[in-house]
Amino acid sequence: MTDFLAMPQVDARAAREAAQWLIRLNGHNDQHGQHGQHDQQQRQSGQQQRRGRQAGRPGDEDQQAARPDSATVQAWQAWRAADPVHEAAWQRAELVLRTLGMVPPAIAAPVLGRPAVDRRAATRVLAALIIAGPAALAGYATVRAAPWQDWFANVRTSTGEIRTLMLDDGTSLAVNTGTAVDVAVDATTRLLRLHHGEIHVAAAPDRNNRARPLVVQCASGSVHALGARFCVRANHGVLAPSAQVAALEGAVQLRPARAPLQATVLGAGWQAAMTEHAIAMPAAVRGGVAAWVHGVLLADDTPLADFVAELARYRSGVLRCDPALARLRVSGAFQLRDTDNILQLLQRSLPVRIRQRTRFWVSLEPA
Amino acid sequence: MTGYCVNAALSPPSIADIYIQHNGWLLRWLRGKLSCADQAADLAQETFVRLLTAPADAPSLREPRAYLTTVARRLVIDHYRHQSLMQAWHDTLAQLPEPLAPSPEDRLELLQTLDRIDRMLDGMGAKVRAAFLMAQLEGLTYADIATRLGTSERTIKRYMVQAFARCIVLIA
Repeated sequence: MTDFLAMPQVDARAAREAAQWLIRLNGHNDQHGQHGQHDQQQRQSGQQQRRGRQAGRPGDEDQQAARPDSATVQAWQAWRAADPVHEAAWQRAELVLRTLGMVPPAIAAPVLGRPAVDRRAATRVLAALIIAGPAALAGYATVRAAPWQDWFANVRTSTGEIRTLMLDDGTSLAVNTGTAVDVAVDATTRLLRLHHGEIHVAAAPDRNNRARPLVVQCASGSVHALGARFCVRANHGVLAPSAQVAALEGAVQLRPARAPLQATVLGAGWQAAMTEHAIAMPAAVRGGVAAWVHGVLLADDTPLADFVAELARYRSGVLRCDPALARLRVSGAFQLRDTDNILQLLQRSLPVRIRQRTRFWVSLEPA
Repeated sequence: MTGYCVNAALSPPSIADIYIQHNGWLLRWLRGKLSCADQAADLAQETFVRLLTAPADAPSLREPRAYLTTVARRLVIDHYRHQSLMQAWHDTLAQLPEPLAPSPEDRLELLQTLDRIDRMLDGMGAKVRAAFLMAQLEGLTYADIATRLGTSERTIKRYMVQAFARCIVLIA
């Protein structure tokens, strides 16, 4: 590790210039040989022309991509030599790259790309409470301890696991692979908080006369239903959070978290993607969107790349598809219980070969 | 406020004085921000450590409460950042297939590195952060990132300069 005190300080201008050099010298993207990026590189080099100036990471001995041209290198060296602050900024730039290169993306992407906590909102509430004094704090405690929270459950499924639960109001909740959902039912609402993954909800019409709405809340917004059957799939990670909602029976209302006025009703047979700010144009629900509830993966003339991406959700480890195979088409109903068998079926029916480096690292290559 | 301002004009209070005068107040302030009394005590301690390493002639020593609040607030924010990092770390490890999971020996170092990176990224705009991580961790091209974030390649490039510059300034 670096000794902090030994690191020379840099000013904002030098840092900015060093950042510009970093990007210029690395050409388009900084594609150094990190774990798991191999296939990414293959895909990129296969699909698009490489930029001439693409280089490995500065200081790397075995650069895989083309070096920047000599004029660029000379200009960069001149910049470094012109001012000790420039050189200091450059040293720090290299340290940034080395540090980023030390973490495996499979872990770093979900950890560093986790959805942001709204710390300002949190501290605002705290500040208000502190200013308002003990009375408000007591009030807060009462609300939290209110007896109307009838029940609460956290449901987590592991990779490949599909679980169906019956809520006490008669709603059936199916939880797909790798999903985290919290269920809270109280006197006024039935709330499902979907952290990540996918659920299928067959909302029972409320037996209480109060007609509590059933709300699925995810990072990008919420889905409101009274009696309806629908699927919600939440995505987050490095991308901005989004959710894919498909209404199968009845209708649901979608409300983006940051644009509640854009709320849209989705009728049966329609699906739409929702981000925090907007709802995409609805499209017809594709067949088999809820087949997983029955443990089946349905494909109907599906591009192999999409099929493999879908299948990968149910398997531990890495499942890759050679870009050359991406456009092959797959049709059929596949039992998710045995994904190894699905791979064997693919090998038998398509010009593909399964290459299994380890149990957890499988790639589909041209036969 | 006025009391120690007048004193300060004559000679700045020693750190011991500041500690004696303000530790109780700082602890109460921190307990209001954190649910756990132990954590409040830890952060109060940490706040005073920062005070010890501040330059002796810093104006901070003349207005200790303002300075203590600033430092302590930063520590509280960092505490919540670290907490959410730990949550994501445990969630991620729990879901990771065994062969991809880091060995127990590697875990501490990896976590420390992630924490260092997380600190650099903290306070970056959400889109800048997302673009930066997509490029650096997922190896996506700027064109791909632009499509995913619904913006132009030029904007992504601007984000990247911004993100790298920030990291260069903050890396420790």
